[in-house]
Amino acid sequence: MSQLLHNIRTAVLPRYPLHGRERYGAFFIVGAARSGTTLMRRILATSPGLHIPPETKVMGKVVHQWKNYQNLEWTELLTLVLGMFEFHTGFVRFEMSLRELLPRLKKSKTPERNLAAVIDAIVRYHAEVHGLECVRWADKTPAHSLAMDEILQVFPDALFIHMLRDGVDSVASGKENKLYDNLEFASQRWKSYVTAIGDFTARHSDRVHVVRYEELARTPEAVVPGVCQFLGLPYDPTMLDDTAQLGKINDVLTQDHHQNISKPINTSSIGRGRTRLSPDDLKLVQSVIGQDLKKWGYAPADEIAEAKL
Amino acid sequence: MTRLIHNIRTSLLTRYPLHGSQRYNAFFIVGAPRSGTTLMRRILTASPRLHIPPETKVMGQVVEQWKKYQNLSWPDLVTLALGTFSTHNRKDHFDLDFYELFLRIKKWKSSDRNLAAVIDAIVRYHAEVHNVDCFRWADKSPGHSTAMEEILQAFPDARFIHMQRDGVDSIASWKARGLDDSLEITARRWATYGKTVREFGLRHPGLVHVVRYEQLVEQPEKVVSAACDFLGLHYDPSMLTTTEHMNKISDLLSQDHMLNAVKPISTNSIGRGRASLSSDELLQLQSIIGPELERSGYLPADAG
Repeated sequence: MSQLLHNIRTAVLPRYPLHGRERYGAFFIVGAARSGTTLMRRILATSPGLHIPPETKVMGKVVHQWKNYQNLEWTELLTLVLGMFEFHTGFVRFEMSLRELLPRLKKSKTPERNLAAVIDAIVRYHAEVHGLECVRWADKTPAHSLAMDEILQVFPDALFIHMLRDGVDSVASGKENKLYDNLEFASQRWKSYVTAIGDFTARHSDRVHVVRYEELARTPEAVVPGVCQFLGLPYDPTMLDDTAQLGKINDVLTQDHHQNISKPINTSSIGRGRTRLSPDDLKLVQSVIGQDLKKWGYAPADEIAEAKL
Repeated sequence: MTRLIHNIRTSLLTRYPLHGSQRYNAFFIVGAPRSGTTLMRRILTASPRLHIPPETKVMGQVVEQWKKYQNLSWPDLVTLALGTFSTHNRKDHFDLDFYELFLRIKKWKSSDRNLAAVIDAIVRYHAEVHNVDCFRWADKSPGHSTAMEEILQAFPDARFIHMQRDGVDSIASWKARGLDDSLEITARRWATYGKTVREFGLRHPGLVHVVRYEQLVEQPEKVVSAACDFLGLHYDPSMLTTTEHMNKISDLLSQDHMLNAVKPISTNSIGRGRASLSSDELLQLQSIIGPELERSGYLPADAG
């Protein structure tokens, strides 16, 4: 009878599930681009034994392909998944190749043949190659704002930090740093990210902790302990100004739009977008994200006043 | 009406075929390990504008995957193919970061999306990255001895050079490398490779040119010019001695077991295995490869 049940389960369940029994305690920093996600990564990466690699970016896509391609043999599924990580823009910042990891994962026994174990292995391999400790890991990828459901499917115990910032400042900074050449596109991107996070949060409120960039910049000593508590990390006041540990995240230092990361936490970027954009630009931004700004408690883009929080 | 037939044909055929209408004039050096395949690679690579990258090894596997996984999207099929090339080889042998290549191939228009074009792009990318001229290319992988049918499916105009050597010498040379494989495993592989290549040649007359290692080192001018005739390459006597091109195939220099291939051609290794193995080992070999030795025209392993 139990053999019959086993056979039915085997036939119905996917060959290679999204996760096994193991839980990883992983968390994910999401939020629109230019909302302080990298600052949060810098602060949390000072926590001993916590590893946050460069942006992995492909979690959502990998989950979909994993489910779609269950007809692949184990080695081929691995080759595809490792290839998706490697062939994504930005993987160059990992400063490694995954080809040496494949022979190890190929030998996994059936219970470990699941996507969560593969992703866990990739992150730990990055730590290993770079000589970093990795008792626990997290991921910081703004684009994963659109992949939170997929991430939760793979990591049922996942927690999320939502970095939220005045959209006017975010999109202005994105344009200024040439992440976007088009303010309207940047605004739409901001809107789609915060909307997706908001929808996810409505369904899984206990999984998401919102951090407002402005509050983090003004009173980090009040904000970061709350974040640590949510994540189950020990809080230490030195986390706020410990730039000596930037070496743990040195991939950011080579990127122009991350030059602020080595500076002490400061409030100089609050309201910067509002003062730098032209009235026409502000109107454009307002037309795209006005309702969302209001919903999240920020002043209209075309109101020349500092954001009320 | 023609249009309709075309549409039906297209939908019945695979989404991403093994090849398109383009022919690449590629050739493949096969044969059991330690049979002179690397020496032949060295000699032919002296031919101007011919590129022979390090062993790619995975042609058979990639062809089978390509046929089996037509449900994958184009970027995913390309990722799998490139990933298979990349992860199957040690980094120091086939040292390529495929990211740039992936971005290019991903954008190919539908009519260019076939496996032969992907493989051609990989080899040309290797030449590009290593700053080597690649008007025409070839591949040298002993493991492809058992993948010739698959290669022919992707490259209908493929030609093959079969490097053949006295199995006793081949197997003893592999043993001398101190690898884990037992003499029995090595012997079985020699017999399987030899039989597979020979039978492929019988099924496809004219596609395989046999080069005996012993003849190559005894009469290199005669043997190499005949191989060049077969491949449509221009023969030049300097191919036998030149070392100028060696930096083009620097992967050889990092591998101990390939160092002999960069020395002057000599007959020193003929019969070396027969002299180095014990009589028990020779008896054991004869029991495994005796028939294939005989079919290939070599003496029994335990003779003399």
